[in-house]
Amino acid sequence: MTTQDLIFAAQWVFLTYFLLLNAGYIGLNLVSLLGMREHFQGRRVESLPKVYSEHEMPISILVPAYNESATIVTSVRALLQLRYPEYEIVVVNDGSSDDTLKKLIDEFALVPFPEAYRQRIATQRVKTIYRSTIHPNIRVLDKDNGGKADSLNAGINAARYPLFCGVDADSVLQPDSLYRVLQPFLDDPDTVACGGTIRIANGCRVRDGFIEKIGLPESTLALLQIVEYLRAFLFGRLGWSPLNALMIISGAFGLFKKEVVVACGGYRTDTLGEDMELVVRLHRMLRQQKKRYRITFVPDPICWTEAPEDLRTLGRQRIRWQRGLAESLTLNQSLMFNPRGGTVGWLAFPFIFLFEFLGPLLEVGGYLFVGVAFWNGWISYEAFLAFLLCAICLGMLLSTSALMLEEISFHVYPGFRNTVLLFGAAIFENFGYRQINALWRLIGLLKWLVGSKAHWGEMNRGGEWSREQKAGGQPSPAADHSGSH
Amino acid sequence: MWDFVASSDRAIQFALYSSLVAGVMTMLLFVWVVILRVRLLAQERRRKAFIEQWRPLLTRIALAPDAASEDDEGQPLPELPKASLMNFLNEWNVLHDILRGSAGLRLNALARRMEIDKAAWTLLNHGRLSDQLIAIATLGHLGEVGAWDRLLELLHSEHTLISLMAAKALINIDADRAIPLVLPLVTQREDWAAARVSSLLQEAGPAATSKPLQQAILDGTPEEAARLIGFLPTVHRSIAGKVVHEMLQRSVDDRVTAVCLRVADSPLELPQVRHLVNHPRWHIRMRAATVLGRIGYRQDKRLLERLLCDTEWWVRYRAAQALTGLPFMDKKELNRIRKRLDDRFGRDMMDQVIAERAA
Repeated sequence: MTTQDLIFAAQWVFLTYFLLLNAGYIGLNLVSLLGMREHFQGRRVESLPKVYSEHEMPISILVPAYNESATIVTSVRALLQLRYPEYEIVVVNDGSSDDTLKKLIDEFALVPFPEAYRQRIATQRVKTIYRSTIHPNIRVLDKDNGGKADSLNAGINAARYPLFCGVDADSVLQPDSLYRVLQPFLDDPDTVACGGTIRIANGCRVRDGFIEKIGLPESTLALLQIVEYLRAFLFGRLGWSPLNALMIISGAFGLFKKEVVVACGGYRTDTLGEDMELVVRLHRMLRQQKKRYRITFVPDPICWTEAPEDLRTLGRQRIRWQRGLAESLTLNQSLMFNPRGGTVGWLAFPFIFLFEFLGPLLEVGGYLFVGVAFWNGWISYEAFLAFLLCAICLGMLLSTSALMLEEISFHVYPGFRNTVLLFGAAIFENFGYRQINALWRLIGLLKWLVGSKAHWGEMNRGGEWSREQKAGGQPSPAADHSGSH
Repeated sequence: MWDFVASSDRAIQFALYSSLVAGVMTMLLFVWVVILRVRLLAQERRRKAFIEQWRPLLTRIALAPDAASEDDEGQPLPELPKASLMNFLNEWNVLHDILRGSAGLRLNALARRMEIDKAAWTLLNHGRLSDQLIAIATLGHLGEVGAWDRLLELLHSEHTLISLMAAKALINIDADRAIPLVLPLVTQREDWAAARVSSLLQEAGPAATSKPLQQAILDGTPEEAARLIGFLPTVHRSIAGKVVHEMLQRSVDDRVTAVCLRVADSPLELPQVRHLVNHPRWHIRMRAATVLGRIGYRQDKRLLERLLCDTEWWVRYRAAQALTGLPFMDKKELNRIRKRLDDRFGRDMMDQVIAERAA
């Protein structure tokens, strides 16, 4: 085989990869479009038989908190205002070194409580359980540091209700979030988990823990992430949901059937992507056990989170997410092409493996190949431009189709100016942002390969509701692996 | 440009054509997004104008009998643009859901005067899914007897929302006639969420629901009975009590027993419930403990004390809650029970529940 043959073959490999990737996402886009149509046709009619409130299952909201002193009180106060008939809030203080616990004790008049704590999932030692003397539905678990997954497991052990909802301490929820995310559990008793759309709160006005006014951020980086989140959630997730092949429910907000999660062993504490790993494991185990189940997604924007506005923090976040994805897939690799794997084992898992797990390698490899080949004169200037143009145009198409889904569904960003700005971001992100993202993900993949020790690092946040810099011990925003496609 | 495409190799041509298609589609999508935004803004304006003009009018007509006759005789109604028909139907149906009695009759009189019935038929036969749904709701609220057969057909539609809406409409037209037709579907259709079925049965009212539901539970298979018993709170208490009593006596199936215990609240069930605290399945023991807390007598204290030493956390928790909730139980007595317990888990549970009660 001559060099020319190799170059020719490589051209076709990368071109086919890009086309397959984009065709796959356009296919998901179409599934999302159909799902969305169904979702909204019913919603336009206000006179549907209402949900009779006695059937709404009570929910335990679990809030893992590590050094969240700056925001924890506002977050819990906001949770207290959620519209839902019966729920409890279990804050898990994961050995914070700041005064998170003291703030909670002072604000909610917590007292130690002699609870018959049942350790169904092994966790770090729970030192004390507190209960609020003002709000009987607030409890706080003070435990030794063990990470977010460990805190969630402790919360599950303490949860009283059949459904639990893991919430990041800095998430901003919609007042009716619980109602919306519960809907699939009411409509289909086989539902074991449900996630919702996470939106970026940068640029929005937040008051008392709720979004008061929706807007776009001034930071270009945050604006680009908005388009990325739209793409990830509106068809990255909504597309898989009708096929019962959703492989991630964001750690920032997700509702789970407690007993099913306990039976699967709870969250794994040795992975960076505990949210995705749990969902993939649920698929694997429930399919192995031949159980009927649904893991689903509601497209409603129910949770808002702050996105990093500097490249360093964003890069660290993306590297973490890619490592989490790699761990989640490899720990559950037996699901892929498993005879009992169904749509998730035969379609979603291979798709994510090829385009998300190996994606950065092929993408960065593709760009490098074209660059090197052009530099060495192996390919012509025209070929160089044609391949670059193809990658960019297909990327623009995908991002714009996400905008279209947003426009026919929630159109949360009001006014023409915002529409134009978002379109601008959808175009602009293809000139550098997506490429650097692919590079970060490749670094994540390499770090996972060499098995370097995981650490969360520091998250720099500049949100309007919490200007403090927070030393991170917890992953904050949703792990969102399909975000870069 | 085209010369270049023709002279390049196939991979480059392919890449260029793909880029061209993607680029054109991107622009088309953007134009579509803009059109959607323009349409949305127009819809919002229309809705706002509609609400400002029609909401007070509809409320006035629904609540004040004189207003309707006034409008009938003298004041002509404002014109309803075709584009605002869906807004009107939504508003009119929501008012119907909220209001009862003569208000509904006045809303119907207004709708007939505006020929809304004809519009509803057109939407039902030619509209999109959302149009059909609202048309079904409208025909139901109008009490359109002539729509009965068509609604019956839609009741069996495979589409969940269409079938549920048809059930609601049939109930609105004639609940007594509709319930015996709807109930068999409640057990057959897994896509009918229990929460929505409860709402339907509530809408039908206990008079229409009680007897057919009783019959369906008593005659049904254990699976059917287990699903239907959950709806007993929507019927007359006396009938619900009879059904629960009968089903507990039969004790045919653990699922049925568990659902019966969830709604049991009559002392007549005590002998059976006392027996069930020894059941091998823990969730039945747990529910029996809860029922004893609701209807138990002084003598049931011993049974509950025994359940405090159960191997299952939830049984111990419910037993402790039941004990603290008994009307004759005071703090001293609870502490005495706690001290009497040999089992550490039972004592821990009593500590927790006593603390909960104190809080």
